[in-house]
Amino acid sequence: MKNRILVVEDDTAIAEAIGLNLMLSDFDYKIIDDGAEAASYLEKDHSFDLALLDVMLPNLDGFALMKHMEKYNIPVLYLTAKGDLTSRIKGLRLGAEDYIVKPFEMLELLVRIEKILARTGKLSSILRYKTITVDVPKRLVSKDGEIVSLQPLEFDLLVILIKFKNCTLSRDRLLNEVWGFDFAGGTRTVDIHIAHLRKKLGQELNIVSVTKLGYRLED
Amino acid sequence: MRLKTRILLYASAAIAAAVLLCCMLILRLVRVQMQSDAAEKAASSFDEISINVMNANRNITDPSLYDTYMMYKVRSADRTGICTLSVNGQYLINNIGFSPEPYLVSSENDEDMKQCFCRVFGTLYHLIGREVYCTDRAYMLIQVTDLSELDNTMRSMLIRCIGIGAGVTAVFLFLAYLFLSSSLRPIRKLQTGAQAIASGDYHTRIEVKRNDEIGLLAADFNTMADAVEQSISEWKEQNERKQQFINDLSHEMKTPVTSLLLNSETLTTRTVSDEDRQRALLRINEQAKWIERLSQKLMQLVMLQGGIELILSPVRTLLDAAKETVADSLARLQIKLSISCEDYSIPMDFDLLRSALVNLVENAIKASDPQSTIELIGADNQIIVRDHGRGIPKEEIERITEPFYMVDRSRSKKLGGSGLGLALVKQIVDAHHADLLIESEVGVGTSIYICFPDAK
Repeated sequence: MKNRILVVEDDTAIAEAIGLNLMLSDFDYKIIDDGAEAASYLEKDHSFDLALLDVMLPNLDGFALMKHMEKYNIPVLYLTAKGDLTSRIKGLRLGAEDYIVKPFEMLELLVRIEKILARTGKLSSILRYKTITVDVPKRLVSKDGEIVSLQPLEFDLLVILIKFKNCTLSRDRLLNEVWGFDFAGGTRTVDIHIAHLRKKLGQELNIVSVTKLGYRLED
Repeated sequence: MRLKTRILLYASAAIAAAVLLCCMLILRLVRVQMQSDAAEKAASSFDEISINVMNANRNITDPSLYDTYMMYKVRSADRTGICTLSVNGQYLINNIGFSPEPYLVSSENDEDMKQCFCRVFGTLYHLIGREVYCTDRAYMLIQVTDLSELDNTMRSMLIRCIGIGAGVTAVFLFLAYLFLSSSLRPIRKLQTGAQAIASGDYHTRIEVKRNDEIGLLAADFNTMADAVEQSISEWKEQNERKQQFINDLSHEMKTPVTSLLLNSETLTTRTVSDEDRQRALLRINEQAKWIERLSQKLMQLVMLQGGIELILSPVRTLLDAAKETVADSLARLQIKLSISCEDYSIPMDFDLLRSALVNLVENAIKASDPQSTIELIGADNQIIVRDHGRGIPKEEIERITEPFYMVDRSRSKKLGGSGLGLALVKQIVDAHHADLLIESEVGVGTSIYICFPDAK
């Protein structure tokens, strides 16, 4: 079951870029470019796990949209060019889960979306990639129904790669996410663990090395 | 030391010195007068005594009796006992306790009378003496008058003078203090006023209702404060406008920059289908073009700050040139542009004014429906751009010349508006010393007037 995300953003170029990325990260999404329209759309369809709201919207601004979102228990993440402290505080006070100031990076947005979904318990706990199934709470990995045993760090690495599949992740980012900020070892550690994963899961796991950037798990 | 204290100190020192000097002079004169009075009185009493002594000394023949006789004569003539009688430095009579003769000898001669003042053991005496004879024997008769009374009088007068002087000085000090306090109060006010202005409170004014130098100074100070306040507020306003512009600009830039970042990031880090790649590239291209348009308009705005050169040019040529520039978009939307123009010329910067007109006509095109007509009219030192399109809501008209202001933000974004067009037009019109008037009614259309000052 994919998570559904509502994007209310009046700039088409930004909205489409976000939509494309959401789609590549296995999310369902709906783009609306008008505040009032978003409010009325919610009345007939409100099964969203998260809403990304721009603050400056035609007809009804993002702050005003907040109470419509509350009515249907949809967590809100603001995307806005208004970076001043007052606006940020206002947004968070109103009950937003998070606040991202433009310009931002896509990967950051994806991480924040995932964190919010995890916090609100809406993140699907079972990840699937081709014939590989990962049960995150139980820390079980199975391929074609057969359980594959992985080291704890290999497991974490696999989870990150699947969560951000189709998305290039640098060795540094992987180190930070899996080993933590204070890990003293070099980036070679990542390469070694990637090699272990490839060996244990075989050709199914299509991990591509991207020159100079890092690794990407492709469908 | 504070000014008031210093003035009071100097003034009271001067007053005290003057009073003291006056007293001294007067006392001196009084003393001289009193001494001469005393001398005169003493001289007349001495005359009497000496004449009595000198008379009736003929019938004494025995020289051994001379001294006794003379002593008798002197004692009978001088009842108060203030005279001394001496012969060859030997005193026959002396009741005064010191020898007066040496003092008298050293004094000036006045015929046969000698007189002088002298001070013996701190006491002032008046001495007057002459030689008296008993037959041929010469005696020295000296009258000694004790003038310590005069001394005492002078001393008490001096004390009184000092008392009076001190009193006068004190009264003067008090009055001067009151006067100075009241006349220095405005200076105090000036000081607090200046401090207030220095610390940024530019509304401060000083209330001094006087016509003297301090009043004038206060008036000048207020004038200065007016000028300072005005230029500060002008400067602030200008600064705020600039700050607002920068804020708006950075806000305005964030959207296309975000879009560029997102799309380029997607292309570099993710696997996307060819169709999606093509669309992302197109979006990048559009946003880059939009930034380019924005920066061009910004450049024009910046250039305008430098001032422009006005050359007399015919208006008809200008209108034709403007039409030429927008011909493509007119043809695409099948909108007609009619020009009616009188033959006249006005001083202008041709290129700038053309770009202003192009901006206005482009706005008119965006507002108009296909097949409609836009009018471009030149007459009576005016250029009018009139369309029959959507119109502008009344409450927005005032704000549409503000940079980055858009009546319908998402609609004008889609039509490629930067929000700078009308602001630029306004700047260009201002640089021509002309006025920009906007008349509009929703659903009926908009007329924009550029009114040039009379060429005369």
